[in-house]
Amino acid sequence: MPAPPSDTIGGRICAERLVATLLEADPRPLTGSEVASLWRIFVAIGHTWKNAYRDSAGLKSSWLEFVSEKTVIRPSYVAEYLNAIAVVAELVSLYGEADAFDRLFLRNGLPVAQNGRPVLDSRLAHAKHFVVDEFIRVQIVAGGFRNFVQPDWPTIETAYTLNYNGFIAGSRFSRLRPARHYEQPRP
Amino acid sequence: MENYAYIIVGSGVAGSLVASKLLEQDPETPILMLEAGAKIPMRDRRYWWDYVVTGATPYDRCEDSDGDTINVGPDFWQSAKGRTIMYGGSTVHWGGWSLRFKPEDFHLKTNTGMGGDWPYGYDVLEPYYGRAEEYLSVCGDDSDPWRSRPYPLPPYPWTESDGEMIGAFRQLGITPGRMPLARYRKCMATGTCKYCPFGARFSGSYVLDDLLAEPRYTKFKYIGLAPVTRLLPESKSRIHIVEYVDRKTGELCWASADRIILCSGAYEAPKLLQLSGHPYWDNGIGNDYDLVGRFPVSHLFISVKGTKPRNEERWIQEFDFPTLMSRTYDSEKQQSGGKMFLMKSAMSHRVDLARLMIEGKTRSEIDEVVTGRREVALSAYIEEMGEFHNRFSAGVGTTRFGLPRTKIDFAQGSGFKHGVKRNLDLLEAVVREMGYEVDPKDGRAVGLQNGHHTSSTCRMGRDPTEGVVDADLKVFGTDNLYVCSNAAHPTCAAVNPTLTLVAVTLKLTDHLLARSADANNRAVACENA
Repeated sequence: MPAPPSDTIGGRICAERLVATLLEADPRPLTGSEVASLWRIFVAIGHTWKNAYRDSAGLKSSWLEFVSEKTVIRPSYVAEYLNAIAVVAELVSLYGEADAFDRLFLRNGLPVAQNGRPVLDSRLAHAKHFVVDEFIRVQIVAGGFRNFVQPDWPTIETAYTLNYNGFIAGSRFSRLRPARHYEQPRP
Repeated sequence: MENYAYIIVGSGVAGSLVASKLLEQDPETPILMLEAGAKIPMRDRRYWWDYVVTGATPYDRCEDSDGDTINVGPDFWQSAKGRTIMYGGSTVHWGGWSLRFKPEDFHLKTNTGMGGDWPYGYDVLEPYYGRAEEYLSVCGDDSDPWRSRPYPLPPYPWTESDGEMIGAFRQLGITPGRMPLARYRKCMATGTCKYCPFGARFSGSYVLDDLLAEPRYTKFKYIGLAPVTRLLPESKSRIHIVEYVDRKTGELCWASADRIILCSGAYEAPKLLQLSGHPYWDNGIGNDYDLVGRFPVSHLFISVKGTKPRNEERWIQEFDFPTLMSRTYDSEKQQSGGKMFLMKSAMSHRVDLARLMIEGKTRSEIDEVVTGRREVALSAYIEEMGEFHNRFSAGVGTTRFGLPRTKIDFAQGSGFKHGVKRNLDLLEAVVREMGYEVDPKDGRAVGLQNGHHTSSTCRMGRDPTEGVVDADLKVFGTDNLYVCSNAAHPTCAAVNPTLTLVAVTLKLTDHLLARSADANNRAVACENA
């Protein structure tokens, strides 16, 4: 049975199938406005899950490196990123900023084919899989994990002793322990 | 045909170390290194980010796959993902656990009547263990009584979540320990050790990078994508020529050397010996007593998982490796029943926060998962005893690396299987002591026989009726052919074998350098005479 139309999100752009000719193959740096449009998606992740502070400013250097590595080196994500920018623009125009990101992040929302299956080569599916999902992983390993593990972060000092797979924590020569550590009971 | 002083087959931890020490002594030493696999960039930020977001490493395609082996015995030996066949070898994907074998591991057969004995005792290898730990920059706890010097680096601390298990260990008379790890370079604790963005965990590939970048080593030549197909003798005792395929051109090539060192691991070395030697060796080089490929051992991995209903502390697994271990059951007392090395699993308690977000869970739903059911797992390696009826040999066909497929005939002894149940009971007692429930259906797990630590297929012995190579790793009956890999270890103890391999390799390089010095002295004496 096809899913009811209300489950899907977006309009014509989201539902459009992404054909190979839409994929720009050559690596290149993103323009300033492209970076700004993508950063808007990344910041919205922190807003939706309330796990980042100061509009994710502390996570930006990691994210910028990630986006640069994904665009200037083959296989380049430039086309995926341009697609995601167009998808988000359509969602925002339809639902407004806050509701658009809630729908993008918290609903499956994919267009459904006549056989009832989600259309995985739709522009919305690509935006979710290749951009949103990966940005979520970057957001968590760059520091977004902290607030889930210590919800009062960053107000307490011990918050800096947490680690998570992918998080770059500490130094070989530092006396700071890079994870919550066990204190032996005194005899 | 080019002639070299040495041909080294394989570019992993052993091959790269042998080359490094020989060149350190004499930068002009002509050495050819042949590697069947490709070169994959390491410390590459793009590859690292791809690994972080997709879980795929750039060397995934260099690992063994199921089709590379043919299992013909009653017990399945899992080889998939066991090795990485590439520049730098299997240390590219290892975990860095660097534990010494213990003194009793060198006398397994004498002590138990099973498996093998080393031709020398722990005391002979002890100084080399110290050098091996320096070479790998191992961090660890100095309290072990079998050590003569401290670790180069202090240990990783136990994590807060280790505390529950440490308490249970102490209640049950088990001594907790800190896992010794090869840190090598500056570790930033990313927990992505399978592809480190800084090269912090040791890999043979970094050693090779340094050798190939050194301008003084003008006669060191590395050829990748070059699987070795045969060794050709010029007499029974002198193996002179190495035949290999250049996979870039498809051509068959030959090179000769004064000494040939097989550093290609416990799968490839026995097959190469079995396939070589005509017309002087009827059953393959060093195989007059049918011992080549026999006695394979690895480690059976067992685990007991427990759960608690709540995780109010919001513990997660913060490292990608265990920090808590114990060698209490890895002792001489347990040797006849199979020693066991315990480690708190690095897989529990894991919460994949990003996966929950990608699935569209709300903040409150994720908070409920984080504070909800908590898992813990205690895992162990169990020592195996090498048995003659088990055998690795060349199967029909070749792998995508151009190497012969491996035929594995393996059966685990019935006594060993009884011991597994007893060991699971010991693990379960710890988990229950911690206050966790163990599900009777899926709480206890016995892994497949796994090839990660495969050893003993060309084991050392005191004479050719006992082993394939002598105490200096030279193949019995030859003057110039060596096997330097886990294949030569007569036992695999209950712990990871790589540190022991580095120690054994350092011992070999001392032997080679001494032999070379002797030859030089004799040449000078002849000239003077």
